[in-house]
Amino acid sequence: MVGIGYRKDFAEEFSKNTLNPAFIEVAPENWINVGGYYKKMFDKALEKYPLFVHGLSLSVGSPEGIDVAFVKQVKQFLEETKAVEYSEHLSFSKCENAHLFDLLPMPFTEDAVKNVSKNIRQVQDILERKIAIEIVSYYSPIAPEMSEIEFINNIVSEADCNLLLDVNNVYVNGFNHKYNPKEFIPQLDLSKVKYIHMAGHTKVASDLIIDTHGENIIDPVYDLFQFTMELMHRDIPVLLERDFNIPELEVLQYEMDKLTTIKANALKKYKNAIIT
Amino acid sequence: MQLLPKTFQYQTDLANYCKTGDYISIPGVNEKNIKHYRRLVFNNVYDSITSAYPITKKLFGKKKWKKVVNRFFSSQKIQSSQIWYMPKEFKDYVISHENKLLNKYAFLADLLQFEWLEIEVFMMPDEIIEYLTETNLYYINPEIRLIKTTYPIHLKKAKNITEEDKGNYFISLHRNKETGAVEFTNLSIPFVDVLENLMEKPLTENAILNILQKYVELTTAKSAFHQFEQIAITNQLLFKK
Repeated sequence: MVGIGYRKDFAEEFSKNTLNPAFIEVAPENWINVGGYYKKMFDKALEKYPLFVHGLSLSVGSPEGIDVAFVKQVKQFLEETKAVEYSEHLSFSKCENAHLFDLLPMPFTEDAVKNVSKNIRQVQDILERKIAIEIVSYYSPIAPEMSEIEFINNIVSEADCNLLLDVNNVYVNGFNHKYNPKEFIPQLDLSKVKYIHMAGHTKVASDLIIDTHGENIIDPVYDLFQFTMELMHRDIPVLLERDFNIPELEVLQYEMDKLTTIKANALKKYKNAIIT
Repeated sequence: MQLLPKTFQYQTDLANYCKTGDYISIPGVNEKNIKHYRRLVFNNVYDSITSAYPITKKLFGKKKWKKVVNRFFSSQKIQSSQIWYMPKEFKDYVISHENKLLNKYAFLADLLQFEWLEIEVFMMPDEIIEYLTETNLYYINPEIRLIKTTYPIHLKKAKNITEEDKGNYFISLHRNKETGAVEFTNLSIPFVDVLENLMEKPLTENAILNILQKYVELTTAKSAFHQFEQIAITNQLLFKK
């Protein structure tokens, strides 16, 4: 199944069935305690599509811990919308009790592993469900004492959470930090991957890509997606993210169809390999 | 195991850099790339505040606007986890901290309040009207806010408002249940009284006229109400059932 990030920018077009996703994804922060015109459209979409919820403000990397009241609001939202999955980012967006509204990179350190894992476990306890944590794109390391892969694997293990594998983010990070994404992905605990994100990005300098979600997916990222799916050996929900510079919806449908085909071919290849 | 002081400090330094633009060296950081975090974080905040207060931004001009957004973001700890709600904190900050601007633009607090309420009403949770079995009752749209301003920020362009305009103005902002659009109504004191009473419970026409008769004769009250009713029913400020 391939889904789409549901956005107000194309909610009206979407309501005319111009896209055919298997599911939709929203950020709870955009819909909690919200009503009105767009909420009515969202409610209609919910009647038709399963919902995946992908948060922005949980800030599992915050030094001060998580906001319990906010997590309880998220829990209510997940229940009300019958959300299939809740995912968040392996980053911090709140520090010294101040929200920053962007995903800041974590220091790859042992004590940060402990802190993030403790926060994720607390969230999972309140929600009474496991969450999937997303490997974020980053543009600079912060006082690293271990590798990125060690940092991620340690957290997934210690927090006993699932993984959201954003294939574009791994591509971006590989480019920005000069490693091979095809060597990075197999080192993850792929059995924990419950959800995959795909998106476009923007190259802002010869040595830097910013994860904008504002362009079409490029071929090397499709190639990395195919590589990833061939490693997975199972079907996993895949989301197409497009947050800015939204094209005609046919373009998004084309990208979703392409992802569906690549995924189906990868699974077919695996099944054929088993049979033969 | 608690977060070590040095890790806490690195995270705090990065967060403060994003808020203020003042960079303190952090080990291992790519100093060329780290500036993108300040740019991305500030742009998010700037865009959200700017889309909330287009009239105030136009009044200030781009340069002054950017400076006041920067002063807000660098000095305040934003509490809202929802970015669409964050501009309310900006409004509260300006009204309580930006005395120079408040002195220069006497109507600024009114203007910010009006622009914010437009968003708040547009976004507020849906509220259902519970109709009673009794008929011919007037119900107020529950998706509504009433404000009193000192300047006619809803009637005149901000740049044309002067001290001579100072007075008492009453405005209702409500959300049209069909279109979702926010509509404002300029109110006289008697109709503020009517709306406040309707917020308590639905009323018959006679009950409304009784309220209006505190201010005017019955004939004038009837004529004023019928004029008001026509507009209020059309734009869904009131419902009759």
